[in-house]
Amino acid sequence: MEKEELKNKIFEYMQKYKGKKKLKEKDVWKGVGEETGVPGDEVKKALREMIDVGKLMYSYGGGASSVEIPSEEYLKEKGLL
Amino acid sequence: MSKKKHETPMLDELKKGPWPSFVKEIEKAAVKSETANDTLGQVEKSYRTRRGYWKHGGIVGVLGYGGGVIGRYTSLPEEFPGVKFFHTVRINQPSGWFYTSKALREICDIWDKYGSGLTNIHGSTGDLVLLGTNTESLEAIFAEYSSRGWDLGGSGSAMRTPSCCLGPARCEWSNINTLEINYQLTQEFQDELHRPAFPYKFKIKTSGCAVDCVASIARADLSIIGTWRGKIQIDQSEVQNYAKKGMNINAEIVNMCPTQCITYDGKEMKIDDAECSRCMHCIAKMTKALRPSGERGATLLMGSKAPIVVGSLLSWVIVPFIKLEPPYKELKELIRKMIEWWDENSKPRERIGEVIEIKGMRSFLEYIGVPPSPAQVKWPRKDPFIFFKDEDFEKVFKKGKY
Amino acid sequence: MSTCAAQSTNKVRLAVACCVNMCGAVHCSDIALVALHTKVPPIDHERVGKICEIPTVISSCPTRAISPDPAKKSVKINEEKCMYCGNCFTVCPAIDIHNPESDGVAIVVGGKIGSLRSAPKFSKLAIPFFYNEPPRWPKIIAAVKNILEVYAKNARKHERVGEWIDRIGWEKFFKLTGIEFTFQHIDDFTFMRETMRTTPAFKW
Repeated sequence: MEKEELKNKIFEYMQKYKGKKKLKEKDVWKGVGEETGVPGDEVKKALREMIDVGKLMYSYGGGASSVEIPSEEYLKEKGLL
Repeated sequence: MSKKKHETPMLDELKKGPWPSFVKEIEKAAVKSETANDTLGQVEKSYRTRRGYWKHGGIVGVLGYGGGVIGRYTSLPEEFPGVKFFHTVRINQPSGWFYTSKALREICDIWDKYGSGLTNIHGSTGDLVLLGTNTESLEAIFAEYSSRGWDLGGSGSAMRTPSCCLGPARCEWSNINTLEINYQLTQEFQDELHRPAFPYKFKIKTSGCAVDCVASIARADLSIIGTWRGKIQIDQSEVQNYAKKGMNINAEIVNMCPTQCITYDGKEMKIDDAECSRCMHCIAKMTKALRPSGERGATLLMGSKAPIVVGSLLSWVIVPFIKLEPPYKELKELIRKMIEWWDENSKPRERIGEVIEIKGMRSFLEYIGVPPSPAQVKWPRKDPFIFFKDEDFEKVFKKGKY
Repeated sequence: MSTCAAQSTNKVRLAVACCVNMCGAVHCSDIALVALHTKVPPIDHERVGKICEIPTVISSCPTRAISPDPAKKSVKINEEKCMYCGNCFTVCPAIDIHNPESDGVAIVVGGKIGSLRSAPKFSKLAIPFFYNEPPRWPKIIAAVKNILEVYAKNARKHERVGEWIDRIGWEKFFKLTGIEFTFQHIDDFTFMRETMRTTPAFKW
């Protein structure tokens, strides 16, 4: 699978759980890996590239870290919107 | 210059006496910083009402990193606008906390520019901790510190900033190069440190000897404690010097030895090294007379944590002895295996020690490839409820290895 | 307290924790103060539904005191099981455990970190509760001073607080310090078995 397509899949996956379940990085490697058949390591790489440019972001709450789709506020603050 | 905004009669009480006062320090910072000024106001209110008003968590950080900044906010932003944001920044400290005064000045100058000017060098985690800034300043803060060679520390469900005692740089008791080990582990686990992907936090702390000055045995998922396999060398003339200076060697050393492996007849001290458990009491009290010799390495213990959630744990022995020499390949590989096993078997927010307790030592030890050893337990199982696997009969019991 | 420390027979690590997370190694200190809650927290049911993940809240409870409350789309707390640790508050701010009237401070003693002479030890409960008395907490200060002075007077050279207590026995510790022994001192969390006295040999 092309990397851009994979990134779209990851984003769709994140949208599906938005507001429903806090996802850890590993949930995304596993979940998207199962849906697409792409090895977890490749999903991990693509996911992290998305995080590096602010397409996704790390969050923290209730004592644990998770991955989320950034809010507009966050993107503005980082000069990405 | 900002004037003191809040009356603080209760905090003023804490400026009395000969001791350093956190109130005085926050007041000094408040001259320049609205944030510090409102911190005083909020703390005074807490003293008055007997409850806290801080909240933490949320979405703060620098692009690409999932840790290093802990979002902190007041729950009373209208009353104390200066602490609407009061984020904590963790800077990865150098091994053993060695700085030049120039480096500290540089760190503080940057902090005066963007933050409250308050720090509590160092935090309980070991990081250099900068207290109180807002969300907008974070990228600029990170850019300035990283351009001078500093990096953020760990937070959240990640490898936390490894921490070590000052080791051979300042202490004759150190059996291992704690500083180098700590530096190498910090480099090795950069990804795990900045990108939280673990079930919960994972802390590594390294002490050069069983005195354990970084309290690794009480608060690190992996406690690396330096030790030796060899004799304690005795300088008899120094023993005599201790006696001459008034040390009651029989009462203070011989009788306090937990394994009773020392004798002293007023002239000569003898140690039955085979019985010594290397607790460090005699060496710490008679440093000039006694010193370890022979092979050096470390005991790896795991699992310690503070009370939340199901009670505190002290680390227990996993690897009785490991040689630790550059490039520390065996140690790094072992840590990766430990984390893999934890990741496979853990629910969210379970520390590795708790997971070992739930899944059992066998599962963990087999995965990381470490054999069972009496050094790992205080005593063996007491009840005859025992797991057996078919392979155990082939490998052990049919051979009658007992 | 500097005069007492100068007289003590070994170092005394005095630590203070503002909550039961006990940051640092407060839980292994010679004398430590820990702030704690003493009442079951109230639940803001409307907010729980809005801001908290209910399964996370339920699994956060170490004593399994929290269960779902489907009618309210929230959770309920079994008051007999709750030990007020506040872990539910950590994952769900709508269960606000703060209570200025009933929050207070406990004193724990006898912890150590180093392996010198004896294995590292946890600090154990000496005094279960003091009311919060800012800004100077005079009753707590007096209690710490008392423990420190009794230790300094009775311990042998090089004995840490915990080693001294292990040698003389906890019954003697309570006698010498005059601290009252209460139901709170007996562990009824998860570690009762290992704390019970299984011999009739103890001191009067």
